[in-house]
Amino acid sequence: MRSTCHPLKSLLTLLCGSLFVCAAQAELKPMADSELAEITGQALVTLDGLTYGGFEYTRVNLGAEIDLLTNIDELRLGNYSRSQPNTVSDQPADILINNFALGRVDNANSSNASVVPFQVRDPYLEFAFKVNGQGIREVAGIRVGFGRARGDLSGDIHSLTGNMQGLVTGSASTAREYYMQQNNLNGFTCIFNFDCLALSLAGNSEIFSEIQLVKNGTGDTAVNGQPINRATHIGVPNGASFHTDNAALEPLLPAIASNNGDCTASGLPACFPLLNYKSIFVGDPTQADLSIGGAQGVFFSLQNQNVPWQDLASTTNQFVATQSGAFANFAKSGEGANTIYPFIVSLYEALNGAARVPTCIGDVAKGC
Amino acid sequence: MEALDDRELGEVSGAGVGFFLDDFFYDQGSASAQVSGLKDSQGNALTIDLERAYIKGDGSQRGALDTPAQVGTPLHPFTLKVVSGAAAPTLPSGTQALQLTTPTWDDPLNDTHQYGLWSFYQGCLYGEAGCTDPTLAQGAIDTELGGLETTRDALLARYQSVGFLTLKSGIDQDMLVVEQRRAQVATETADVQGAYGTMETRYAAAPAWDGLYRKPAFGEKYGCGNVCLTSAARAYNTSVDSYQTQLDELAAAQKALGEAWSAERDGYSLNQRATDYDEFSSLCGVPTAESPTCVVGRIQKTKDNRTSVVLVATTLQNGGTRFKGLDVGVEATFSLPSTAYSVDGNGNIIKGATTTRSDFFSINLEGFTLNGAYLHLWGDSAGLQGEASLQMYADKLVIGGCRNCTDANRAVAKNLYFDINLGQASLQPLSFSVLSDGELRLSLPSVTWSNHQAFYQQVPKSNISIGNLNLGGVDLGSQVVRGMRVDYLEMRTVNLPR
Repeated sequence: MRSTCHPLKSLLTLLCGSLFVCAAQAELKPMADSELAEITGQALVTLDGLTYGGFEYTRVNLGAEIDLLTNIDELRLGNYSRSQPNTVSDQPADILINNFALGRVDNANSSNASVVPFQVRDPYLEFAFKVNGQGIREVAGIRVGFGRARGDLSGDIHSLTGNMQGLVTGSASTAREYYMQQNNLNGFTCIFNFDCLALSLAGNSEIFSEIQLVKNGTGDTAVNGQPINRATHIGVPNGASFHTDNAALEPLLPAIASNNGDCTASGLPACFPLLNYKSIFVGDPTQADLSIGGAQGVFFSLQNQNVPWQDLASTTNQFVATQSGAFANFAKSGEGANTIYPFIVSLYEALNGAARVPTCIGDVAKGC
Repeated sequence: MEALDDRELGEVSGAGVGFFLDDFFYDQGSASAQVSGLKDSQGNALTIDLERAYIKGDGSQRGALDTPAQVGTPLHPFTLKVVSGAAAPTLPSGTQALQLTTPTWDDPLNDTHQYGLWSFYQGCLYGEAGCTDPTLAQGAIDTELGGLETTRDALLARYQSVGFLTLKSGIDQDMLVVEQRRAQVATETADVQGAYGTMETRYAAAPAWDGLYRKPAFGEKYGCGNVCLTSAARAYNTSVDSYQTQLDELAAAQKALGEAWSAERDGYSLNQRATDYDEFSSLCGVPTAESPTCVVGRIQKTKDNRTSVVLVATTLQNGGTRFKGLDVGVEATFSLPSTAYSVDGNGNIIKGATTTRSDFFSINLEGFTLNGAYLHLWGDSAGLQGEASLQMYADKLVIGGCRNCTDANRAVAKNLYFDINLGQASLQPLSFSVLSDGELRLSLPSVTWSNHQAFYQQVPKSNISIGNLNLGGVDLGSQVVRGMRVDYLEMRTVNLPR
């Protein structure tokens, strides 16, 4: 007979088992030796070690499937004084989100209200150590992450540091309508405006662009070569443009829909306040199966230097570069047609703002 | 201690037991202990050698001194008893529960909630150099409260002439249009996805040539239009037209939805009005009058917190001291498989060999208290139920990866406060069970339409805060998760590796 002892799991099982006096409904029967031989023990927790770039990492994995709806008044990480050139706002913390929520409530203000939970798989806690110049192995960082995550994430995002890669997609005609509205143009005067005319020529072709955390006013993602922190805006980065699958239109888009350092593309805003994005969907909303539709590589970390954390979404051994302070990673995973973005917003949402999905039952949409 | 007489004994109800530990300490000394059976994600075994563990009194210099510890007092003991009714008012009527409580104090310095709250705003560890003014916390919470009140006042001024009930009525009316158009966008989005799938299928079946016309790029049509020679080419061309039609309809639906969110009343778009109303409700509670009061919500909560912060600060200013907590520490060596990653000559990151790494790891808690925590357990037809409140405070949590080093090389979290509340006996009992496959299940039932008002008033929120976190000598400031309520939870453990 083979047996394996797993202390934590055994302890928890023993604890629960001993307390479940009312839960047991079936008659208990002794197991035969052959049945016992099949039991190899189970691992609730595993530990992984790796090294990279002079860092040593120890990760504690918890095997779990978690569905939840939670409302949090305030999430504030890295609340300290900062004044480097790449600090692009006067916000007090690296990450500051009020009325943070995971999950949503459908039909919130009716008797048909139903909870749509946020799904999390295999959360983990990881430490990074680095041997310093004096040969001392010191703590360099701590992160909390999820193997996969899927669902609605809501909040009033006042500042964010890290990776937040999304995809904005929509019809060129939506952009045209917005442009005409903002510039007091009509169908006739539109043809005398280059940007408006270009968007008219694009018709209803779908246009899309990756969006990232950017510096307001420029769309910069870095200052003096250093990634920005305490971002208050997200958008099309400086130098990037919208794209389209329309082969005839694609060569034109960089000319008519690029952010050239002024946070506009084709005359449209290309940088949007994070506060406008009151709810985003983490993962693929069209794939209910967490194994397929769940975003990988989501984590929050705190570190005292530029710690590269292993990218658990990567199939090519990539590491995520971070900077000193608090950091949130909602990065895309996969490549090409298989890319999964942590969130996708339609162009009209980007231009008008993404409304918050209800996260409370009743009159109050948030802060319950 | 003196013997009780018969009359005094007659007063004793035998409701439970109280206990405390006085003048004790534990030190592992030279004894050795090992934890085995753990694995990494590839199934490789690893071991943990516990080199040192101790529980001593506050001030033991991380276990170096045999400072006696005290857990509870005769007046403030741990208690274990069966409770019901007024002794545990959250329990459903007629339910008896096993209750475990940690020492409970009413004074502000030993009440974990009040002291933990003050310690977060204080930031630094009181008594250390540069941290002798307990009113720093008062200044910090005043600044926070001022910011919230400024936001409230701006919202009140913005809608003063409109009235908040009228504002809400307008939002509700306009949201009906949004909901209709949102449903239309969802329908059109599904139609686009369906049309795209059809186009993909037909493109795959389309011929390389149709007469003189070469197969076009995906999304473009054969030049022969509706008079192609092959039915497959005609079908594909039709699917491209259908896809474009669906895109047009989606664009129109998105535009209509955008317009619905932009609908203006009193000079503000629906999006702005809804945001403002939600913000005000969050700060002051749901308005019940055109000119609403602000007696609940986040502002009132912050005011309540300020009362506690001021009370703690004043008590400290008057020379008050806390009952000493515990020093608890563990030092261990991990022998674990470690995979080396490196950059090759082409700049690619490659996965190298896995070797066994030996890591030193230490955790020390200083000034650790658990005052005011409780656990209620009972059973019913649904199995084991419970509600728990963990009230944990520590002056310092120190995590290290080096043996001979200083705190400048470790992670040092000061003023650590865990206020974790799981479950509420009547509205959201915490449920534990073991599934037939040996996995563990933990669940908190969801808030419902029928109980949501009572739920939001009575199910306690949780807080986690650190006054200051220092990693390897670098200050990263305060960290806080404040006002967290789990409205629904279903958790199941899974055997790893998957």
